[in-house]
Amino acid sequence: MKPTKKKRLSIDVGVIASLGRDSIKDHTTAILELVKNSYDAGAKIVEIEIKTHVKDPYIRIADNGSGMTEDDVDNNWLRVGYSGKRKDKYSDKRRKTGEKGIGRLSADRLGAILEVRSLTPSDGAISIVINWKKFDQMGKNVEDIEFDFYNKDVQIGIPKLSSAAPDSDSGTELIIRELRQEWTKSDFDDLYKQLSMLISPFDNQVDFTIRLLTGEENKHQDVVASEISNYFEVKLDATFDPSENTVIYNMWERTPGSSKRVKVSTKPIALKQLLTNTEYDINPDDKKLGQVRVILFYYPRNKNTILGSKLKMTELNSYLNSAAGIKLYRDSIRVKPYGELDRPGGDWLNLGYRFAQNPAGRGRANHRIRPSQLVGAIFFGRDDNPELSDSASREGLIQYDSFRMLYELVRGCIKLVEARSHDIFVREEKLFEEEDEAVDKDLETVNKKLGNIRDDMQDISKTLSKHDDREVKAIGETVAILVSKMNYATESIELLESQTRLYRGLATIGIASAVFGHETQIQISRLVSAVNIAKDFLLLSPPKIPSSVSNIDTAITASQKVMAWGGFALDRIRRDKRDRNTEKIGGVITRIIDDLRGAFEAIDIEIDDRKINSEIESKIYQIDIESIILNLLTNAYTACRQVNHNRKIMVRLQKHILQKKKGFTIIVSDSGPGVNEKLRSIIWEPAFTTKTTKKGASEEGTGMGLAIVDGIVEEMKGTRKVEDDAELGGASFEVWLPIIE
Amino acid sequence: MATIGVIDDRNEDRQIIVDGINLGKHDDSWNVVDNKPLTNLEEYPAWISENKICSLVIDELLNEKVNGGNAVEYKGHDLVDYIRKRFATLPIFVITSYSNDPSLRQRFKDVEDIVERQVFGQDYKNYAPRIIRAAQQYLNVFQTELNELSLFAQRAATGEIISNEEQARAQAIQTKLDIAYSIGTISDISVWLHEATDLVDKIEELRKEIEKKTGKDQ
Repeated sequence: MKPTKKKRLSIDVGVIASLGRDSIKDHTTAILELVKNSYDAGAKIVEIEIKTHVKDPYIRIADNGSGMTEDDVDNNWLRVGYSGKRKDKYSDKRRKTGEKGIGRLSADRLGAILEVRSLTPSDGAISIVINWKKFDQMGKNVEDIEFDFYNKDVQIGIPKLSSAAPDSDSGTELIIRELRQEWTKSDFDDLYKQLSMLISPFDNQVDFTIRLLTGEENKHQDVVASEISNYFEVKLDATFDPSENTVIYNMWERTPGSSKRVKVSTKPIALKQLLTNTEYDINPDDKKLGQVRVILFYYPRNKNTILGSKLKMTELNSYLNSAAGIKLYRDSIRVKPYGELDRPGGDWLNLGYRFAQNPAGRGRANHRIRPSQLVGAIFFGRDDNPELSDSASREGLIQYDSFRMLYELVRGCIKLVEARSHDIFVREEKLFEEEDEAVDKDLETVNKKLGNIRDDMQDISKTLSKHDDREVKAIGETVAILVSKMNYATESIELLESQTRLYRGLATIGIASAVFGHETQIQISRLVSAVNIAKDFLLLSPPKIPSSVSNIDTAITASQKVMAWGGFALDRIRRDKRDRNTEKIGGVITRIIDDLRGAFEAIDIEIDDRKINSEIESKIYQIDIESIILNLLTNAYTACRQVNHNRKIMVRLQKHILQKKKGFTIIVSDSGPGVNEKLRSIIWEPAFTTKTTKKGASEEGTGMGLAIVDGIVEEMKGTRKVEDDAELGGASFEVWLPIIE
Repeated sequence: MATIGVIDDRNEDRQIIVDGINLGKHDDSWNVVDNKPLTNLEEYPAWISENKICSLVIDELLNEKVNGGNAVEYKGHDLVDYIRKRFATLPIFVITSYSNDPSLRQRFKDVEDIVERQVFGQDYKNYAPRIIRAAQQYLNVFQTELNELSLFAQRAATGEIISNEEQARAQAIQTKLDIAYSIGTISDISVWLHEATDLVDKIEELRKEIEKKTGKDQ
């Protein structure tokens, strides 16, 4: 059958608004789309200027990319839905980001008028002005809308990487006017963050710079190119070579306090050597993964990270809060949500869970890095790794074997960083200790000077208050207020110190409860059972009086032990123990031993406290000394349980002059199995524990007791050590503290 | 007298269990014996046999008290493992303050019950009859099987031939009841009796031969 006539599909102008203005989530996203176009045009720099506090607010996005000829404008730019990127996926080694051909329409989301200026060597500068308001006239066809085009006397501003760089002969500048939305500070912050995440921070530093000029003060920020990123402690740049099934890597480390980055000698490592103890059951010899590059920056996020730099801790934290995470880049474009730590799936390597399982400090060889301490990027190409493809149902990649292999590869690389970080820590530990001492001395000096100033001000205040002159009196009053504020600040600091002591005391009670609390539970059971049985013996006919009395005796003894523990726990945190008073140290220690003796005797541990010098006096916080002795005794108790005979603990207190300073030494030794020499330097770290079951199956200790002792000793400017005890055969913990009169 | 055995390293707690069972039992024919943990696991079979233990009550942490010598090097769950290899059906109750100990919980299928010490102290009148009932059932089976074995032994002793099936049954009972002194296999005894009878006959013939030669019969 022959058709009567031909019909055509016509497109209403409203479609343009639907594709552009209405489909773009917000104005930040709209800018991102336009920046992506600049990137795809091969630009080395894109400049974004957002001027909202001028008479005629505007947004300017300019780049030094390839620009457009008039022909390009006609056949590409003005053809909605056309994308040259589908035909030519690469520009200047970059894989192009957009393929839909509608990114340019997002300009409609930003403002009603768009002027596109473009420069090419062949056509020179041209310009076209798009008035998006024309697309609001419903009923008109898209083809009916016309725009003004210029190819003469067009002024165009092409950005340069530096003022010394030669002028570019190509580029594009978009000027958007009649802005549709206000820009707030949080919008600018969000834009900055989004821009920094759009393109790899790693490649961006050499390949693509985004310059952002915002706000009234025209504040200029080079997005991503940040000095902070250089203050890593360890950097790893590894490439997986699938042909050799090997990881070739370079590593750099930076000693805290130094700006020098030292390259560490490394050798290629076979994949199967790197992938040990994997979470997934994978075979490293399966050729599932193509070439992958892994770049990791590790920042411990402590004061040593910024030591010797001009950075502030807040700046480092702010940088890491936005940059931390291990991001995936396929052909240099982000694959979300990997590495966005505030989103589900962001911590895709489960580093947080891994750390929670093993929260030990860096002093331990198997310590784990937290996700917030790593800035990382994984680069791979779609052509090398076709299996690393997008999931159709949600954000992210399909979790084929190749993804699992990638997961284990990156975790293996993180283990390399962790091992290096541990080495640095062990090496530098001594140095830090010395520096901490210096800092402590400085703080002491500052405190003294502040005290002197306060005294002087008090004197001035008194003198001025006697003066007749009204102005002088007013100054006197101001000085008095300052003195009062200083006093308040001092009291606040003292209160905080007191609270710290309370928390340490409470933590100690908690640890002791975990160890001795079970003994109390046994006594409670015994008390309840014995009372019941005593009663039933009495109810027999005839009653069995001796058996009843025997059980009542058992119940009474058990009740005394229960009450003793309750009293002991309450007594430890009494308010007055958090005040600094002159106390007899021996008395404090003996009272603790007496309170605990029953719990020790219950499992046949003998405590020998005959060598406690009862005359030593010092101005101390009683709660601190109690925390030290209680934690050391708790340790000794656990150690003694591990041997099946001669369970004995010896507590000694003696005067001891150390480096010409008068002091006293508390020694707690036991007949347990002792402490392995290799562990002696790290047992003081939080979360480290040697208290495993006999079969080593599960840990019984909290790993906090000795860390508390260490904290108190450091605060009191004392020393501590652990050695073998020649007499009892176990460990001997020794704490020296200065006598304060 | 059939007995309940109690093993605990803490004297007071051991006595509480003994008193609790004595108060809760309804049958005076049952005796309760108690002991500190024995030094070696290998000592238990003899202790159980000598005391005719029909139900065992133990603690989990048996190694807390040194008791003037050495604390033992095993825990309650180790004892359960050992006993089960020798006395597959002997009832075992664990009364402990460590009822949630993972190693112990793994043996839940191997014991009659794991009871929190305080729960037993409050409710021994219900637990004691359970312990006795389990012991009684064990004793009943034990006596039936012992009688069966005794019959086999008697038949063997009189020289009656025991069939292969009967021999297998007798061996199974011996193994189950852990009869260490074992009368040997039933078939060994039958053979031995036949051989002995033959020997006696031969000696008799020899005696007659000697008398004949010495002319005694003349």
